[in-house]
Amino acid sequence: MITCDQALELISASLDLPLTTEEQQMLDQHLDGCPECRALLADFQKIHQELSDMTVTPPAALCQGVMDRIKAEEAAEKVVPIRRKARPWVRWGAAAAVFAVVVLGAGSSGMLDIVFHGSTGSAAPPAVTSQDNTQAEETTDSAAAQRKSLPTAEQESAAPTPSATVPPVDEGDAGQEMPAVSSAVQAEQEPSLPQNVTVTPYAGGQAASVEGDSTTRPAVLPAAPPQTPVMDDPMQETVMADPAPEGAEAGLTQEEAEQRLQDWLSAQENGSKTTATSLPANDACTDADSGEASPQLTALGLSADGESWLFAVTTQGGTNHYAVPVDGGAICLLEETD
Amino acid sequence: MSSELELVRQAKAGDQQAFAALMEQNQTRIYNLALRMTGNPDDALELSQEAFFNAWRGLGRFQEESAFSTWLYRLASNVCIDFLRREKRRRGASPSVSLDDEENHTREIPDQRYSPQEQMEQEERRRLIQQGLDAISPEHRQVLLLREMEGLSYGEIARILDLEEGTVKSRIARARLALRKYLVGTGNFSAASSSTK
Repeated sequence: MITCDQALELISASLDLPLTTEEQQMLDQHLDGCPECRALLADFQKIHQELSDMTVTPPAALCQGVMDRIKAEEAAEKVVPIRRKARPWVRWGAAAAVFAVVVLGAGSSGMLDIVFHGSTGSAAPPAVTSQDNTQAEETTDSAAAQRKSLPTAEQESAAPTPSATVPPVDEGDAGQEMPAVSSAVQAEQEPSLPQNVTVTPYAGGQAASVEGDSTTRPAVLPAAPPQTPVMDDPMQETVMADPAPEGAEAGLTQEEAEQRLQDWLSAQENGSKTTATSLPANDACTDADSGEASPQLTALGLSADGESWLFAVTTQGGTNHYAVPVDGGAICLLEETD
Repeated sequence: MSSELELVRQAKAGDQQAFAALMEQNQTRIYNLALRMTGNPDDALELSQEAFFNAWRGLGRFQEESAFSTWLYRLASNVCIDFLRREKRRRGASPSVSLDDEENHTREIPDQRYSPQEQMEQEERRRLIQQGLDAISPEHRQVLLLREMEGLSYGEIARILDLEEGTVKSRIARARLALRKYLVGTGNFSAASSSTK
């Protein structure tokens, strides 16, 4: 005669598979004399039946959510890291460094003001300012009026390592932030570039922006060689500064680009402010996807052509990919998935 | 299942559509396992997705020695157990009974084949069973669900959980006993139902 404890396992097993003849006999014999175990068997059978019927259909979002995540991960893996490519602007950066030193020397002698602005006293940034100009460019990019403050040398000097996280800044401060990082980045890529060059805020940049944002921004496209600077025209000054920035700009670092995108998304979400990172409405890029709160931003590295930092922004509504041009151009929505 | 094996091999080669097909084949069982383990549809969805995503990333490690679904069950079980342990720690070392049944329990969908009265009763029974599942230990819950809801054999469960079959058999019996004890304690199961023997 088996015990109740032994009967328990046989009762349970009897629901799952056939018992052996001997097992069945032992169980039957026990159940005949044990009402508690008979009740146990009945309850086990009820539970068995209920649980078997409790299957529900999974939500449609289950599979789709997984596929979206797989695709997002795949997209991130396809981005070519910047370091793998020979970046032309690295060489430009070296040239910019040399130019910066030369200009600094000129600036200290007072020649720079004359060269750049035709007068003295203006807060014209020396070419070194390629960095500043870059900033200026970005400033103009984003409705410069609001981003007047350009990074000072102090900021640049104080900039953390190139890879350091750009501290959150107000929209108005974005310009300040970038320059600092830019210089740091430049330093990263071009160690010879003097980071501690003293520069003054790029008032010239502001002027340029005032004169015409569109001209200043594109002007600073990394295309022009730093040495080509125009020394007599404030506008071109921007151009000049820019290319150098090409090196200087080394364009935006990934951290800068990420911060820029965050600011831009916030601006889009808030619906109004332009701020530092907002881009001209006539830009080809759409401002998609604003209004998503707390998006999860994933850096995907540099685009294949090396001209933009790619990011994936994931929200409950889906994942969108953005390109933040290295040269500070308009942020573009690449694709939108929901 | 040869078709499953083919899909697995295609998925291992990077074929996302093949993996999507594998998900379609297994999503109900995985989701229901997660749902009954957590008692919460949102958690179940998230954990199911996590399990599948882990499967995608870990396909290279799947040796094809066992059925893909077995491997998948293991992933899902581990994800659920880990989740429950985190939840337990987060709530403090409190009993696994849900603090808020209404919040944590999924609303049971009544079977439309029955009358409204029967549907209501069925819904209530299922709600109680889910409460009972929440009350027993995660380990008991796990084996019980794999057996009762997923219909897996002792051997399959043993492979999933890396246990001996005898251990699985014994654990299932104890799990049923624990669940029954909870249900009897709520007054919804007869402590001494009449026996047909």
